Amino acid sequence: MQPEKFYYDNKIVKWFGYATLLWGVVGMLAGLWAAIQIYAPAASLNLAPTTFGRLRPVHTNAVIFAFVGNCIFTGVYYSLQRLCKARMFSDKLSYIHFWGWQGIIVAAALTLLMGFTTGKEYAELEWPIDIAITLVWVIFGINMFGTILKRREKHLYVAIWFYIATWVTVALLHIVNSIELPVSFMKSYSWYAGVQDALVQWWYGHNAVAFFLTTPILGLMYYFLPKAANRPVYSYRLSIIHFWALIFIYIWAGPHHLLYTALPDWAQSLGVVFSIMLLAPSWGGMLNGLFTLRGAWDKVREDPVLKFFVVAVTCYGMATFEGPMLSLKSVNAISHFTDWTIAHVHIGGLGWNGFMAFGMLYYLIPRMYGTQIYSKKLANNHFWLGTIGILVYAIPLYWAGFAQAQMWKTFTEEGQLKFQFLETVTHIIPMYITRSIGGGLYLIGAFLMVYNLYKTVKQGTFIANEAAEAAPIAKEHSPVREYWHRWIEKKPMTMLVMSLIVVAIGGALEIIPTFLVKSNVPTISSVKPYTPLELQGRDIYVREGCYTCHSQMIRPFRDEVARYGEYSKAGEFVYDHPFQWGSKRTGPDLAREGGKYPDSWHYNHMLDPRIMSPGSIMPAYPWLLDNKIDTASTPVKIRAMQKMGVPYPEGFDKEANAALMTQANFIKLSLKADKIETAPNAEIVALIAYLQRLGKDIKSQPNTTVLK
Amino acid sequence: MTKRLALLLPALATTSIALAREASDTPPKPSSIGDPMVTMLVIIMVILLLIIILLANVLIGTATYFYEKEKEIEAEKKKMSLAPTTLTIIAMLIGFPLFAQDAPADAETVVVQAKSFGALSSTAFSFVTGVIITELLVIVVLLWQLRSFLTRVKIQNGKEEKEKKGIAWKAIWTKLNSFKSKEEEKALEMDHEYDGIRELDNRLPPWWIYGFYATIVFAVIYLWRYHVSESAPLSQQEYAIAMEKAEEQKAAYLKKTANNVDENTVKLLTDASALDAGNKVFTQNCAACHGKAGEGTVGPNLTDDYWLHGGSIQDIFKTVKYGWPEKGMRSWKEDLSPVQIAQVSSFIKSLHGTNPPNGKEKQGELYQDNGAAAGDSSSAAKPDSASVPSK
Repeated sequence: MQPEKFYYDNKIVKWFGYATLLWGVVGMLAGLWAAIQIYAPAASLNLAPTTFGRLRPVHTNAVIFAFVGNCIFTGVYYSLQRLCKARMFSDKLSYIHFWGWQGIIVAAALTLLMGFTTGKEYAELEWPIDIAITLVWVIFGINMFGTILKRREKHLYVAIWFYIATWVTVALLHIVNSIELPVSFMKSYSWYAGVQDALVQWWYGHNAVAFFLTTPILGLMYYFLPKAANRPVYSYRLSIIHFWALIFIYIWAGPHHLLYTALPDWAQSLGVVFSIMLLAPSWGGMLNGLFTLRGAWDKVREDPVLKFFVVAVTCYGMATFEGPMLSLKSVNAISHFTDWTIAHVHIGGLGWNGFMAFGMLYYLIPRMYGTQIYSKKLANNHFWLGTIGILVYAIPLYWAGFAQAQMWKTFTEEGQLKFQFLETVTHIIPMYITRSIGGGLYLIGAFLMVYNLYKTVKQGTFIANEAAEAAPIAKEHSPVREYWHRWIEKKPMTMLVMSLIVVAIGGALEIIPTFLVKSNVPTISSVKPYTPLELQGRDIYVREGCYTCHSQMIRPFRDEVARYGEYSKAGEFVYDHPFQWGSKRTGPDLAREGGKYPDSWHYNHMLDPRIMSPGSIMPAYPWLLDNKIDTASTPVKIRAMQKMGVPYPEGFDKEANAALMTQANFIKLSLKADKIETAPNAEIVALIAYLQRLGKDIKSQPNTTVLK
Repeated sequence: MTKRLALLLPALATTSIALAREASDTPPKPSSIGDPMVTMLVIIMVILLLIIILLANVLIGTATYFYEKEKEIEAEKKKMSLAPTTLTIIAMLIGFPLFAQDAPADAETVVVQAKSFGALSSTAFSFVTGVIITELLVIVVLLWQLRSFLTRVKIQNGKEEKEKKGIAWKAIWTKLNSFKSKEEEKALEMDHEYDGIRELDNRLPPWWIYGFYATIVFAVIYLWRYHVSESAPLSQQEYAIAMEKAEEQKAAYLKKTANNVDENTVKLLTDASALDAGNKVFTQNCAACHGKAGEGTVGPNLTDDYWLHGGSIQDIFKTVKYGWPEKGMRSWKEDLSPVQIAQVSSFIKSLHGTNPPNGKEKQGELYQDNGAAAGDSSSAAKPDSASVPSK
């Protein structure tokens, strides 16, 4: 058949590449700033938008969805065209996708800093942005499948399998986890509550790691690594087995984020065993990457691109070995809620995602500009700065996590907790400082790359449309017997549906029983809905991102019960839309904070935490003392809760504000008794009301030992 | 070799499952369930260990033979490639006895654990399976080594020129992954390429695929133990066990020390060292709410004559120990030891009448120590504390 002439669109690749660089630097700066705040609370500038609780979601969203997201699109738009021997389906869609995604990023950054958040990790964006993400993702899907359908290559290469699975699974995760009830333009409540919300959220959260930070990047690895090494991929059958096993098993592993919590035991156990079984499929990707380099290790010594890839794939292997180990309950009992987890994710984030992105950009940009890299030496320096940065970042945090967990768990011989919570924090501050130095080195490396690539761009000329030639797919005449998997590689739509089925199984089997089987969340009669004031206070708690540092989940361990009180029960969270269990204890657990300290303690503590607990690293929240509660929103919030099944009496929305003021005046008086003057409608009053409620409902059953 | 491994793993799996099933038949009392299982596992470990020792002996014999031979040849060749081989052999001679020592030590600790816990905790279980898997790996490595030695000897007996110079490690690595050499690569290449990317169709690395099977076996056993045979404790059972153990330890400790004071037996301490210690506890924990000098800020003034919950040493001890949560005073019994509570209570008593600046206004009822200094005022204090209603 006649070969056809066509052009690859490099321009869209270039734009996504530049966006990757920009958001990479922005996201890392946000991370560094947040890291510094941990040991220097004054770095929050005492401003609401720049406190840790708001900056941390900006950092995570920026590096995941802006930096890695744009990196994925850069790689997909480059490799998909070449693997399909076709230009992108529609240039117009490409640009709608590009600008749509950048718009979402800007909107995300602004709204998060302003305090608009759903309070669910890595899914913090509010409902209008959620809808925009869905639309842009669909546009990306149409553009991708359009390209695949008009391809000139009969079979789909393994990279494209990963792209397809990524697309369909991310769509599923995003839609299911974002089901929320809007109460105003930028405020919504998660449809799910408590245990169920936690399960859906971590099914999402874990698989955001799987299907946004892993599978698409594996796809990129399958394209760029053999290209850069000029070696054949090690094993086709390994790629088949590890692909299907990976996407099937990954989806089950979410509950390992909730070990020892109030999640039913059967779901926890499923999370454990599927995480263990995930080890081999994950390593399949690493082996196929590293073994592809067999016979090309001399090149690795020369070529910075390959160096980045080798460290990236090795970090991937380390992180995916560590992941299953952290899923073992005995290890998780130590690692969870500590900085160990932070170290673990940064091996993946800085090592795997970051280095894959850097390697890819060093490979792509010179090629698209028809030139060589401006300075190999600079790229090598970047490589070493980055590698050392990762080590200086991760090792102190592993140490910090382990040391703090040990301190939490240490009892004196008399049976008392040996360390106050604050002591365990101040003990690891040197590690926090070292960590930020590691992050700083990594960031300097990224700046070197920006400069190097800028110089490369300057010395080359951009090839906007790269000419290529290929024959269209010939009609099949006689069906030849071929390997069974070769058949599905010709059918992109079948592949899409199969991937969807494979990933849907695990999610459905875990989530549906948790919703339908009543015994999974035993009800507790003394647990009552929040009062209107507490509800407003809870929204302030969510807005300030308190969950980024404080958990609300006491695990059934001797030390946690001694420190925080009776361990948390599933039935206590039935009115929590969204759940606020948290995943990190930079500060102490708050699940039973109610009644531990007087109202005035909380007032002074919010004004400046160091008045009440010297050495504390919590930021100050002075604006809460001045801001007024948005009472206009109370009725609509009550109605939203009623819609989701919270048993407020009929017509309560009209009386809600009166009840709110009564309770607020009560707190005002209690503060006055301690010589503190405050307006009853100040936000601090609502927050105090919420904090004083936390965990109290089951305490109202009389406690015999304290009051004889 | 791989076949043997393939046979071993399912065998291991079936025995373990059979064991778990056996365990499930016994009554559901966690302490007695594990025992037959522990013994079986330990027996498996010991048997594997014996195999290792046997194999190691054979290997050492072969290695020594090979070493002598090599020495003869090298003597003629004038130290051409002696160093690497000698090193490997020495490494192996050192290494295997080490392995052999490791394993019994492991086995012993497990036995100890089994004795102390009665049944296997999840950690012990993974530990035991870990030991067994390690032992299996060691056996595999030993067999491989043996075979590579034998082939080497064979080659040397035949044509010496053909001997490969590859280091033993490389050979193991190659075999472990069943790598093919570059010459064989052409045959593995598939008949397609994508944008210049070719694909080989290498076999799956054997250790990888068997590792995968092993994790699946682990998953089955894990779910079986936790949810079918119920021989492993779930979170809340684990908690109950931990608390029981803690209570025992605490009771045992308190029995043999003089630390066992409570609100009924506490006496006012007056010696300087005790008050110093009390002062330290006060600054760390109490000053935030009661002021550095006890003048009272959020919490009440501790230096005046008025007390909300009684001012005797016993009452103060009780207030510190249990707290008055509804009044904002938290309980400190999990943070402070009985002696520390006695020290800080005595220190608070010593603040009486110091009249610091910015003292908070009086709260509660007038309290006076009847009698001299000692805090034997329990009779006077009791009604006082009782008069405060506990809401």
